[in-house]
Amino acid sequence: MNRNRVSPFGENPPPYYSYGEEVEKFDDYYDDALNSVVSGENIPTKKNPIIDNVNDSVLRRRRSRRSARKLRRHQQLLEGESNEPDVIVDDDDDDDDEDDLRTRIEQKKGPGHWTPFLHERRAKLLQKEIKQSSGCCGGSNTNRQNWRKFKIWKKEMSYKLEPWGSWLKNVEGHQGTGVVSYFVFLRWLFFLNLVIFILMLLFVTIPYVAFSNNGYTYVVTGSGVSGMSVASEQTCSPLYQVNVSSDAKTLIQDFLQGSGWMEKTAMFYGFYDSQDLNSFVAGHYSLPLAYLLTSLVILLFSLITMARYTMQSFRENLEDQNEKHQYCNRVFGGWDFALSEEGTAVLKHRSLYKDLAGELAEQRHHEARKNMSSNDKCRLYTIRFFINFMVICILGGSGYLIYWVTDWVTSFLADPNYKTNNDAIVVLLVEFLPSLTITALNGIVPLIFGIVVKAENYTPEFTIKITLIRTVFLRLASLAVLIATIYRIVSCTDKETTCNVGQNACDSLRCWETYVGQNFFKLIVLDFLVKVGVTLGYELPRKILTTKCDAAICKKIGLAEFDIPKNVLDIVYTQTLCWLGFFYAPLIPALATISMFVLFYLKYLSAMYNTNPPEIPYKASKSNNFFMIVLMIAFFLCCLPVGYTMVKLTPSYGCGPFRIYSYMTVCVDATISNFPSWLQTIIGIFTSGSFIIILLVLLSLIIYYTSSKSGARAKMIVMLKEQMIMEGKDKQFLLNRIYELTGEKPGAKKKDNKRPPSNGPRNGPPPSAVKTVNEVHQNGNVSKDNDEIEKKIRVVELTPVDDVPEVVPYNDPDDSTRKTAETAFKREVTPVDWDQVPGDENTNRTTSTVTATNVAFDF
Amino acid sequence: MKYRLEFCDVISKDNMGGGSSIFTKQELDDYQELTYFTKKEIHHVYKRFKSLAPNPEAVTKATKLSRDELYALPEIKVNPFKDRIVRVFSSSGDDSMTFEDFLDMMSVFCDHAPLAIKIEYAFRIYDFDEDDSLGREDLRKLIDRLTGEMKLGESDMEQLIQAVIEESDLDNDDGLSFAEFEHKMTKNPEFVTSFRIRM
Repeated sequence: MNRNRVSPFGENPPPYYSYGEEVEKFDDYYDDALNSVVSGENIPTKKNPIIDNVNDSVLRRRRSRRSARKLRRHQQLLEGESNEPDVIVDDDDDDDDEDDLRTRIEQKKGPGHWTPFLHERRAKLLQKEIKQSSGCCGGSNTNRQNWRKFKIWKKEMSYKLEPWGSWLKNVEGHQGTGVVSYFVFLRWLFFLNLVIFILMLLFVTIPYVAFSNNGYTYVVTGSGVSGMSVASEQTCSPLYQVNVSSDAKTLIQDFLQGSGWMEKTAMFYGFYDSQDLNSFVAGHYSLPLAYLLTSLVILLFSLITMARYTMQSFRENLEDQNEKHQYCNRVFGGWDFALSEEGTAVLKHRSLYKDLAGELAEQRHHEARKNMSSNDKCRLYTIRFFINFMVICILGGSGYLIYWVTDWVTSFLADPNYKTNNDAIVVLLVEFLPSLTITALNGIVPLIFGIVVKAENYTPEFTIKITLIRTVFLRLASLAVLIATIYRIVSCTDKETTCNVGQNACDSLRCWETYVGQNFFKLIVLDFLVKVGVTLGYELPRKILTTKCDAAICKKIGLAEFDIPKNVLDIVYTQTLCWLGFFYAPLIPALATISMFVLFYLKYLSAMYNTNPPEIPYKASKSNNFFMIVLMIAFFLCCLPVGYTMVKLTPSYGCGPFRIYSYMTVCVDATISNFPSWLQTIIGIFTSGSFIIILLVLLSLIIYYTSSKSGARAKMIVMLKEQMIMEGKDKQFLLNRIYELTGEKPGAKKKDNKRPPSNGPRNGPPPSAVKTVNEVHQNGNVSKDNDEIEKKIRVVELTPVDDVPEVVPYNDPDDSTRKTAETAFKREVTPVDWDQVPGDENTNRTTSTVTATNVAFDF
Repeated sequence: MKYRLEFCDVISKDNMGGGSSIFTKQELDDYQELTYFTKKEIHHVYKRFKSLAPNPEAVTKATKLSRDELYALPEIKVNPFKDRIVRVFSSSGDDSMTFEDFLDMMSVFCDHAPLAIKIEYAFRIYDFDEDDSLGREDLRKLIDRLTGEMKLGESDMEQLIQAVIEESDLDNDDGLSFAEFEHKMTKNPEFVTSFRIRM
């Protein structure tokens, strides 16, 4: 029989529609059949429309085309709203002419070639526009056109305004999408910091610098609010003095350390004052309140933007949870079509090869490990145990080292004459010692982790992850130790009573908030300098060495690799410092912004000229998620000390906006106490314990509801998946029947005869089935007359119905019916004795075949 | 640089609503309607198209670029599937492209083309023997091209093909139909980022 082969992409619309109808009928029929099986009803006695006109064998193709088309339509509908200017497609006009046009456009936007239709279609477009503009709905049409124009304009603007768009594209051509995701992340953090900086600048720094009064006028004193003392503030404020030296060397030193003249700038907490700004438009502007609220808004803003960013990629990945299609993704999504550099393409080939070969080896290795002798297992686990123990020791040791160094430095600086007794360089070194220790540890310890992890014999993917997690722990742990050390110094109990400044064993910090800010300031500066240093001092020389020197050893060194995870962790670290520091040094976000900005160009340089793409294929979406989660963890850890400072620590009496309050949050109470009494009552209700308990109960109820809903949906997904597989098998079975009876073999199996025997376990129809069909075809056993075939099918249909109930209890009304049906399907596909079917009507087929036939298709 | 200047000229003329441009306003509108590009991008695509021709001055919309000329586009040049891309997007089927074909191609590969369309074209590109199904031979060719000069060993290749088919073949016909391919690709978060060519 001559098979009418049509490309699935519809170059030729008319035959397509007629097929569509037919398939639709079949689908209805099929659904009915399935439903009846599920609900345990009798099988409908409708005729099977497909079997009735078995003319060709493109069923499977048509079917797939149809679903593809459906999906496309659906997607276009969805997208039409958001970013496509295809308003014409959305038109609700019943005119045939336009319908035609619409389908054309739809087709052209979608699959196939629109070129041959172009002129014709253009004429129709023109016609339509004339018609519409002359018709009654001319007004809405212009509106629509304007709207369309606006949309296009918006789109163009958004491209134009996309910062560094072309830069990113260059990187993409050079290094592939993985590295670009790093740059996108960097850009995102840059903008986050910019917003934080602007918020701080607008609501704290500018109002204070522009409108500050001299002298203290406390407008917001509040009535009956405890924890305010103006008196101690007035005695302590003059005591907070900063030695400003005019020596040029000291100036620079002070700039790097945030001491001296820097301490007097708006960078640090101590600069700000507790006064209300009277000259502000319409009354007064409470700086303490602004400071506190801006900080809270910044934290909240960071959280929300992060959550949005995470959710976007999370949603994509959520479906991807089962690792079932890792090979498909590697093979079909492997090539990066954006690559445009010869060298990069070669590297990409190599990395793909390594990835595939590695994964296959891994799979074999995995199977081998299952059969590993208990002796080997024991050895492996011992090694792992020791290495993990070692890692914990290293982490603990690093923590202790930081603790010890910070402690020593503080005691060194506590000596009032340390500046005169020591060289300026030594002083600078000592001041930077904690930061230097942390940075050095961050540089060296991950290298050790990278070496020891090889002995642990993990899978490659897990190796990357566990090394990253250890590195993250190191970074967070070192910061935590630093914070703990600072906390110990700040909360030292031996303090004088008037100004709450440490004495004797405790350090005398007149303004401890500024001290904390200085620490983070130093860390950020050092971190930035190290990054610049690594890029210019390590990658660049390596590049020069590789290109200029011809010796074999130089070639062997080669270019550095663009290490994405390490780079991402670096910027996450900078961000952590920013979040930790911004409360104590309000302009630290500016530093972070500058740091990110410069880093973008530096990394661009190194990505474009100095480094090779990473050898390990980097899954941008998955790892992005991982990094975002790390960023989130870091964020919550940052919130702890900042929140604790706000609520539980007594601010310095001599400096800062909160100097008159015993706790920082008291300023909120003071503001509320100035509100009218009814508002106070309402706020009182909302902040009372009983209200919060009710709120908590309500929230947990909502969580319970949504979680049970998602649980139900997960079950539904499993069920639908089963159904999908069933449908596939089902269809395959039916197709095979058709092929056999018509004596034609499916197109996809043309090459099957050449195919080497498969080695994996298979649960489809045995390969012999195809051969049999071929043999039958060659022997000419099957008649090619359609009528005769149909007759045969009928006969086949009718005979075996009696056998059915033995195998499948159809009357069963509940779920078990479905299960039985399923098992019947499964059985049907495997053991069918295909040889028997086509030649003879009175075949003695196995009962299971009959069952399956009967369950789904009433022949 | 020279072309760029000329190009700006064209755009400005076009924006003023008069003057002779490469495209009529109507054409531009149509192109915009039918692709995922803005007008500016369409001009940009034209510029790239022109730069590929041996004699850029003589290029018109109807000019056909041969396969070898199209291979000069950097992204196509390094692409292991370049012959397939050129074949799939050539409306005349002889591996040459007119400007409209070229625009069609860039539109499919651009950032804003929906996933469904990208999947469809990816399927056509990967379907080497054009039998509307990705069979074992197709997969073998595909993998061979992906790994470039290094070839997987025979047993590795068999294992890999088997694994791919086992993962994706729902109806046990020993190959991927379009529906199966689509099903797999909609779940692949990497695909939409990797299947594109920058403008």
